Amino acid sequence: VDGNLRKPVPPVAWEVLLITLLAAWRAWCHPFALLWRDWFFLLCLFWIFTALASRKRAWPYVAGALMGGLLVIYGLGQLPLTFAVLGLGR
Amino acid sequence: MILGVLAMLAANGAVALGARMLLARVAVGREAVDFVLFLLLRLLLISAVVLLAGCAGGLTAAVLGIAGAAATALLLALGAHRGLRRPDLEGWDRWLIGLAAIVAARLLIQAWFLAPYHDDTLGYHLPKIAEWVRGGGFGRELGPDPRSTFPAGFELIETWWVVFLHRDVLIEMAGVEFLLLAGAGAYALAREMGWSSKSASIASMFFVLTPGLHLQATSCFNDGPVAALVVATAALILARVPPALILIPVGLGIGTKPTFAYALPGLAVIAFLCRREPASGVPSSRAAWAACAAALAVGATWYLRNWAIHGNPIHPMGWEGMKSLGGGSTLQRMGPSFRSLQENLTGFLDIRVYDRIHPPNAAGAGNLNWGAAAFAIGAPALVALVRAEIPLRRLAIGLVVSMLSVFALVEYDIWYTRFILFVPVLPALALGRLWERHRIVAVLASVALASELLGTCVPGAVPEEVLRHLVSVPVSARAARPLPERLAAGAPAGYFVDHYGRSYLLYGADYSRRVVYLREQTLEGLRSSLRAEGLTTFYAGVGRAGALILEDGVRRGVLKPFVDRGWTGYEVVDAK
Repeated sequence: VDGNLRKPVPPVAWEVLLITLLAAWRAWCHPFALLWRDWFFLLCLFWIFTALASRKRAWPYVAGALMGGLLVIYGLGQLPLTFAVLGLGR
Repeated sequence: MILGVLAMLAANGAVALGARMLLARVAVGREAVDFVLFLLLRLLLISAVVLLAGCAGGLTAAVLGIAGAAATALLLALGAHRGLRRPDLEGWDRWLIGLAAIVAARLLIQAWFLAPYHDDTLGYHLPKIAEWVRGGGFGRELGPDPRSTFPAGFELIETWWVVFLHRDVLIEMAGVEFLLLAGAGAYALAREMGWSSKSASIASMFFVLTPGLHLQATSCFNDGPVAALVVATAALILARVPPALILIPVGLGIGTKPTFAYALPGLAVIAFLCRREPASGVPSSRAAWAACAAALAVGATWYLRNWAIHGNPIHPMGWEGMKSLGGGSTLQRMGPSFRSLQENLTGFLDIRVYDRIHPPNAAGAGNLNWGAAAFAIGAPALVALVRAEIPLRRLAIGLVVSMLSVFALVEYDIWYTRFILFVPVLPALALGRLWERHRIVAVLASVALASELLGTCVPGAVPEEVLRHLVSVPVSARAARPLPERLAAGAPAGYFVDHYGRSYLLYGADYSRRVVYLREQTLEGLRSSLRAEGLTTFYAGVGRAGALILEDGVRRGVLKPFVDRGWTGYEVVDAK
């Protein structure tokens, strides 16, 4: 990701370590079986991936896959409620 | 009615021209920031005018209309209209302009068809407006809710939208004004970060369509306005305008709701992180400080009033916070708490962020109400961008600090997430930025946008019969619930209350009915007041203490209960 890089970003190793600790904390205090759809945990994993591979060609594909997956997770929970308010899908 | 419309046009013309004239003295020369300043100055002028008119007993369409016409003529003679030009929409895609027009038209339709519907507004915020408009000025009666003495800056703007027509059909326009400010603030933030007008306009659109924020605009809640003022303050800080101008939204915000003050630590962090950036100059620092003083005075009014009347600027809160008179639970805490921070953060991450408890709603019930775009597209985009974009990183650090500060200062309850409606500006900004760079982001965000357009059509968590009633009654009688059948037109309505109650509805949509509040703490006192007011029936919105008095009256045969169109009422038996 290109940006307004007037100052160096924090050293990647420290950044990855910090986010890994956050992800580990989340994994520790959240049911393991539900981690695959945990918003915060997935964002932590994506942060680590971005820190390590933001300039790789795979980055947009991984980002798109994550966004699409989160969209499905959100939609499955919220859309039925929205449709019900609009009187659809009864 | 026609005279009311003319008075409204004249007064709105005056505040718009007045704000423009003031802006000429404090503009920084960058269109996006100056538009935010214009909106803030307009809100400041309206607040000041309603406050002054309310204190002077001139809060009527005639007084405000004549004064507005005179001020408009004077401002036109002074040339306040010169140099008016169309807004610069260069860089805005056509589809985006079309979408903005559709959303604006839908907001007008929502404002027209909706009437205040949430119990919290019907008992807490709005009865004071009915009293002000009926009395043509401020009085001591503020309504049944003990919290009605809290700051009422947003109610000033709502009063502006009802005083001319002497009815509440346009009351939601006050929230729409603040939604415009929220969008303008997001746009200015993006532009100040050096982003294109296309990115800025997309970010602004996504922020405005954040379900919680959007539905707040037509709900008469004041949390959306607070979020708009936080975002506007952040935009002014990032733009490095003089401190006097930054204090304008701060004054208005503190006068709107104390939760604005809870967000101040994060705003201070943004100012600290941006301290080395070049500052923006203004033509007249004297004008900037005058506007700042006016905004701080408007914001401080409520605290000074409470201090003068009750000896406590934050009455009815004390050092121990505020407890529910009904159940004794803590409604609002005083000071930060690690337990609150932990509970609110856990609720945010474990439950609320998924928005799967309720449909999108204004009250924040059960959900975060940030919408699909923020959850699925904006958040990952923010992760990517915050690493590389220094201004966005500063903003994100500041707003996250604000969010944590709010979490530490409010109790964990079903509605607490509506106090952080300023945070989704971050994913909205990130989404706007990545939209231009990656086609996949634009495609997925379009799907999310469609879901948010659907989700913001109708406020959720509102009973279906209320919605049906709203669209079925003529505008002259539009209210969320029908009034009791036995309530004669024009006759006063008695309302026995010991803490909460939706008394606003009893005033009528045209504020034609006097509401007599009965706050006696004994049955004899209540009967005596009823006799003095000549009331033979009354309605009740009481908790445990009031219910005991009423039960006593029924047991002794002096009160006869009835239910009329969902209203619990009592007939005074010995009055016949």
